[in-house]
Amino acid sequence: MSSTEAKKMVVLKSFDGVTFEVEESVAVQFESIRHMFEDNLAGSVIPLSNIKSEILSKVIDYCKRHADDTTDEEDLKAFDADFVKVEHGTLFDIIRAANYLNIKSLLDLTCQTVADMIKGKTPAEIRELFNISDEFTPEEEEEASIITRFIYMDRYADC
Amino acid sequence: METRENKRMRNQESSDREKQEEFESDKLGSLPDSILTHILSLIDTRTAVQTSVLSKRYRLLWTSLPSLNFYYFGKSRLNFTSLVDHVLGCRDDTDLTGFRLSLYKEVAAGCIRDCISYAVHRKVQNLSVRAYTKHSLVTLTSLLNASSSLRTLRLNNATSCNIELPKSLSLQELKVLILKNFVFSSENYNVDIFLGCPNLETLILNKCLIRQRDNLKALNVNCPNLKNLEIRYWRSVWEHFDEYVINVTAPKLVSFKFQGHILRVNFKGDLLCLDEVCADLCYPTACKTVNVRHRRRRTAQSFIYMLGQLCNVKSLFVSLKTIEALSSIPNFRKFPIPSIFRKLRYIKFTVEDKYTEMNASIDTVAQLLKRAKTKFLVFSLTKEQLLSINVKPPPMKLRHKYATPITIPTHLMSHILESSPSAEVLVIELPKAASD
Repeated sequence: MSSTEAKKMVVLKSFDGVTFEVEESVAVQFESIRHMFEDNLAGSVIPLSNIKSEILSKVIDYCKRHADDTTDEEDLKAFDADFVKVEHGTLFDIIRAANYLNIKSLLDLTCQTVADMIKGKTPAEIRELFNISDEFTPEEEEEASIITRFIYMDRYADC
Repeated sequence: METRENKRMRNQESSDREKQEEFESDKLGSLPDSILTHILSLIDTRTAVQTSVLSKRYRLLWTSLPSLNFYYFGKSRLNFTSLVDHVLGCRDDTDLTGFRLSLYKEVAAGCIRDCISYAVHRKVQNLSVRAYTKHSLVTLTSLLNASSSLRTLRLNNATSCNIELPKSLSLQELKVLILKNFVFSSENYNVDIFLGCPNLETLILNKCLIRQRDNLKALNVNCPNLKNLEIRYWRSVWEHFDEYVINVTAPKLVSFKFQGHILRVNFKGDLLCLDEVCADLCYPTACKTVNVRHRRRRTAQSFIYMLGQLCNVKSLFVSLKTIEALSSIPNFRKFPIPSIFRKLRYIKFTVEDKYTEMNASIDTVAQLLKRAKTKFLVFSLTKEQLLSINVKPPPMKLRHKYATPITIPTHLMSHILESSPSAEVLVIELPKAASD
């Protein structure tokens, strides 16, 4: 028996109908759908109706790398650092997928990436970075600024 | 009428579309609340609160952060405490997973107490406090003992007395305890301190000490479930270092890490689960008033005594500095208690600034030792990234540009191999070459 035959495969289907064949050892990282292939549903296709194929392939890539025991820690770190260098939209889609599939390490990695982008930025900078439009009326803005005035005062005091 | 109605509907549609577009343009905001609050929990709470002015989407998110992180670096204490008050006052009533308070300038003890009390009340699991107060002490006993949720507790004194060490703790769920800058004395230390945490798995004592000229001479770490023990930079006056002792009763200990100046540590029992021991010793290297060689030797002797109690270890990591100290012992055969590490399979020499690490088979090293008539073995990296073991440093032109060779005394290497009959691998870390 060859090694490929020995490995149990799981078939995943993305929102746009693309199927991915994944080794069970990789798919076990998908906590939330684990029961589906562990409950002896082998051979059947598991639909992931809210993940696009483009994102799913990235997620599978990540899990493959992390399931591989032979990769050393530093290589893995470099891979992770590279993995999150994507457009904001893609990054958020990966976050959503990681959240849906319940892959803790991927969720931690991607959320930390976003947190690092926000860290130390002023609201104006954050707005610009993520293209957030300011939809407050002037009155609401005033109210919000009163609430958070002391925060800014301290910011100036720290300068 | 109809046309006006149509027009109104069309307007409505277009404004809906605009809204949709606006919403879609903020892709961050389109993430679910639980993820956004998780992201905001990873940054300092001040910035997280500031996001409330970004747009309506973010207005109230900060009130349900699962973790809070307050940092204070000085300037405007009033604003810091009002930020803390504001957040603790307006936060919703969900439980906290984490709470971090890091003070780098003095704050009133009351503020620290309020924070800890709030966190414990909200069933916090991971609590980290770096306390800095001017005059008063923060007493923890009554604050913490109410907690049945604490898993990780990290307490750090900015100066020597900001948090009073609790005389006894009763934290059933506590798994990790990290104490930094604590002074143990007969006033604050009670044998029971660790007994109240029966599930403790990791204990790290960093820069702690036993107060001098005090009745307290021994610290008892009695933890039935302890797996990891780290003692880092224990502070004791050299002249009196062996007057104090840490007695460890931890039958399930898996890993022991020791870093800094030598200290007497006594282990009770056989430590059958012991897997790894890491040692990185310090000793004075240049001092006019003391005999450095004498100290190095005392350090090495005490260390060998400590290691002798850990003879069930499977992996041993020793730093180059530790090897230097051990080299000062001229003849191990004269050593009163020879210890044999029967289970030791993996030995690693570690360096501070590692360039790379290489494996050497024990057999090769042993054969080389048999033939070697020199006092040293030199481990170096060749230009082809291969490990070479020689009896003298190889010429510069054959060496790797970025890795410095390391030198191990032959008598020490022989002793290590003799005392570890099952050793399989020797891993050598090579430091980066000093840049000119």
